[in-house]
Amino acid sequence: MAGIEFPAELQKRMEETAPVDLLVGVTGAVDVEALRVKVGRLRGLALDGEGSHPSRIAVAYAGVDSDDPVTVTEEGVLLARYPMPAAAGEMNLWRDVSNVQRNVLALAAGWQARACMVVYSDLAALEPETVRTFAEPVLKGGIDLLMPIYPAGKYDALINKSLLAPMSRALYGRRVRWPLTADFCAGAKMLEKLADGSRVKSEAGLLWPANLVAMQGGQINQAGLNVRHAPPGEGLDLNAVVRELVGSLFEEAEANAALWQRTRASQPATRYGDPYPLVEQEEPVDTRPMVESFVIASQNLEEVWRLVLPPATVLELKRMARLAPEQFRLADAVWARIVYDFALAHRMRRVSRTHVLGALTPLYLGWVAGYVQEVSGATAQEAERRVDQLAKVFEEQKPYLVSRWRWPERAV
Amino acid sequence: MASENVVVAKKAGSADDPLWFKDAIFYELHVKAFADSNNDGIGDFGGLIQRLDYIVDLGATCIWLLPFSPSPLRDDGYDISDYLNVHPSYGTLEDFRQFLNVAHHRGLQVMIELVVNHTSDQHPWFQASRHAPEGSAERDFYVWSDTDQRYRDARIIFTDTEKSNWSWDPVAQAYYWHRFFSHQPDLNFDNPRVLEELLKVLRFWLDMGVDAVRLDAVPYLVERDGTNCENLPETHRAIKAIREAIDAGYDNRMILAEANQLPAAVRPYFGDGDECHMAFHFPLMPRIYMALSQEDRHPITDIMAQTPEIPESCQWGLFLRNHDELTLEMVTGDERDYMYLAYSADPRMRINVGIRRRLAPLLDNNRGRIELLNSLLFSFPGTPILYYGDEIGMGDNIYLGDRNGVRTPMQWSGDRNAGFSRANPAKLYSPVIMDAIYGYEAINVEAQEADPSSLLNWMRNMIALRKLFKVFGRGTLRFLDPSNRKILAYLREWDGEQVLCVANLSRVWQPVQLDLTRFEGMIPVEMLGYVEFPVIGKECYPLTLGPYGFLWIELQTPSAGPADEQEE
Repeated sequence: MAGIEFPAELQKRMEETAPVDLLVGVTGAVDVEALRVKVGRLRGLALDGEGSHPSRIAVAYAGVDSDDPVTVTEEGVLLARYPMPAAAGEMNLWRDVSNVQRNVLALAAGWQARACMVVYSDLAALEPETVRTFAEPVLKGGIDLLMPIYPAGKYDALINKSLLAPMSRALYGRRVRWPLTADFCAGAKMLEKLADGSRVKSEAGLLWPANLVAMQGGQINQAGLNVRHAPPGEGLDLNAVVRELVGSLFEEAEANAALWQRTRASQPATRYGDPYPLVEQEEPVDTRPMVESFVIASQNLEEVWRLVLPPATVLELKRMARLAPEQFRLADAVWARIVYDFALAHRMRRVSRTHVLGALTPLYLGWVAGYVQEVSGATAQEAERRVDQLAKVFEEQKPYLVSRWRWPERAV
Repeated sequence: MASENVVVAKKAGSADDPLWFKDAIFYELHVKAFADSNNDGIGDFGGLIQRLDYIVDLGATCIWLLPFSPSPLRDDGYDISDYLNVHPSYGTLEDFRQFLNVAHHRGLQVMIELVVNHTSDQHPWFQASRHAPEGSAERDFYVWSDTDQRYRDARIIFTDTEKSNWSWDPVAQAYYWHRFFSHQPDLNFDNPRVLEELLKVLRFWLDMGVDAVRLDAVPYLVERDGTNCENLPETHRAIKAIREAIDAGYDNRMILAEANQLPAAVRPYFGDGDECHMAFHFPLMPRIYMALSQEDRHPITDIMAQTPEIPESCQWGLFLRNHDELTLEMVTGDERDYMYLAYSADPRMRINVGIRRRLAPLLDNNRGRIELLNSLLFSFPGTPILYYGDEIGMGDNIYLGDRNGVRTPMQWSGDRNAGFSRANPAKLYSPVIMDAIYGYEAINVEAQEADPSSLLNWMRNMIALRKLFKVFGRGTLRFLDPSNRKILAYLREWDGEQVLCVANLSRVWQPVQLDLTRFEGMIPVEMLGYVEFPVIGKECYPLTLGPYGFLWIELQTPSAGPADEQEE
């Protein structure tokens, strides 16, 4: 199944105990005692609607020992251990998470699960109400994918807000706030597709569940999830983060060009439950170091920028480099086109991909500096609307990307 | 006792999709002509491996290798003397294996030649046959006769060099049959052992991982008196046996028929999807040139009207030029005369029943014409096949013998020997093209890679664009019938994709009114630049095309405005 093979004993025990309603797959090694406590709380959970029978639930976590790989807890929950895939290396932390997520999804497919909820190894999402919120719509309502909306302040998760989410929305046509997440729930139809890491010919890249399900025409909804994970890349330098996250999104864009170029306009992804309260952040952010990075890069990286960007954009960036920090703004349309031009340069390989992504980082900081100044007096809700406005601009600028993608020599 | 129900796993090919060849872009090349890694003046597998990135960057997905087996090379390798090896000039079997692995690793498929109709007269089978007594198994490998009067209705193919399809062998004291050169005796498919041996050859290469084989000269396998010895039922039985062997042992492989016949005669080579997966559409190619020269779409629409439906799992192979002459066997006498006048002013440009020239010289090096013809190649129903060097507009050398003028070394750079080899120029298997227009100093890969407007970059963009739309490889074709016959307009449709292609065959601007009323309300989006055109209405749709201009237009349904986000 999708190139993922499990030990024979685990395979055998899965066959003996299949099918299950829901597999909750924990992506990584865990404190087993803490896990058992959490699993105990799932007793009697009925996920097929009011009055339904308790659902048959299995919980899988990474780990190996010589005992039976599938046991039944006192609460009647199947508890399984699966072998952890080899790590991709310390600079590829999201890829490790994605690989484990694929393992969990493959496990669910092997177990003939009707749904698979992927939860991060801190177990924050492994609570009965969260499991119900995520799994019930999938089991009951025929939803193919339920994505989380994490609580975030206006200065949080800015790579997601400024690039990953708006570009995903523009390309794949779904308004998903967090296209790359540690927790989500997928329906049976999508398990094999999501587990398949062989689409990108080299090594499997990151798993973008919403983008993949959107390409399959699946139904995607969202629900608030009140947890804050320590992101896997915490402590890494920004260049490494951009390289891994943005590089993966660009790779996916190359692999799926024939599909996303057919998608026109976006569809909303219905949100379940209470919209999660936004986090108000009052702490001011100093934008001067970001502007300085941009200005220095405008001198040091101009050569790369000129190879990647059309003359009009380079001129705009030069103009910006002369602005006083408080006037610093990168217009949304310019930012969207910059991202698209870099996606194209990444595809064309005229400059090494590492250089391309490295040259994007100070431009991202330039956008962030402008954004921070713009929303410094705004509420979290106003800032959300500002981010939504950016996503719309990414959609409006999509024809620019398609045009340049199809005939790369033309740039004005 | 061994079970009779043992299921033997089929050997997988490098492609995942059994119909991979429908979406493929083929790139045909000679190993000897592509790149020389050991500087002996002859291209080799080592050189080819070094240049695979170029093929990947071009966008080709399948390499078609012309014959590379041991051979006396009296017909550029189509005279094979050992089916199970590599000609020492090109490397070793191990080199081939390495090439295959590297190609697969880069996502390329590989097609090789299976020359089934004949061998070299130096092949051990023929040498054994001519020495073997009449009626023996060895003798029966080839077609022998006491007289040269049998099969008199079979035409002679190489009219410039052969006067008969029979030649006298003084050792055997008998005539042997050959449809091509006299040094290429035809194998005798009435002898079942011949097919058995050829299947062993086939399995040898497929086991190694080869993805596809081109069955050379496939209409001529079997001879019968009172027929023209082409396309006989017994020939089709042999092809079915070959296909059966492939389907029984292998997944996702492909066979392509070289049958230079009219489309109706080629149709049986697809069988009911149980013979060849692909066959060349030979007659389309000269008619494209004719339409261009006459500035009239009729030759193209006429031959396509004669083209029958083929099984869903099959595909036409389309090409503008290849390693042979631009063959005129499948056109009428008048059409042939016209083609000679239009495209081969110098008699040296002609050979057999055709014209031995490359694409760019045939089109007077006119960029507009080159682009137009490639746009047809990429948008007609079938899989496009590019001939090495045509993507940079390489020229030919009509002063070289046979068809060698279109088989000169690939022009990589303006360096010595066009960057093909570091050997002494006198040692090259063929001189490089050196004239002022097409010579390697003017036309080469290095220069065109550095030039954003070069033909090479144009080809790369076009190929990449074609690959975004499966409709080109898989869709249906319907011609529109505008009153201006200088305009060729056709619709390709597949799985909800609708693409309108419009081409101006004329050297001057042309207006056209297209009946697109069936698509009223849809938005035409020009595909190269992603430019929206006015919405299609109730009236005929007017377009104007510049000299040799073409448009690819995707017909899109207007999208509903963005709905607001919903909450439940």
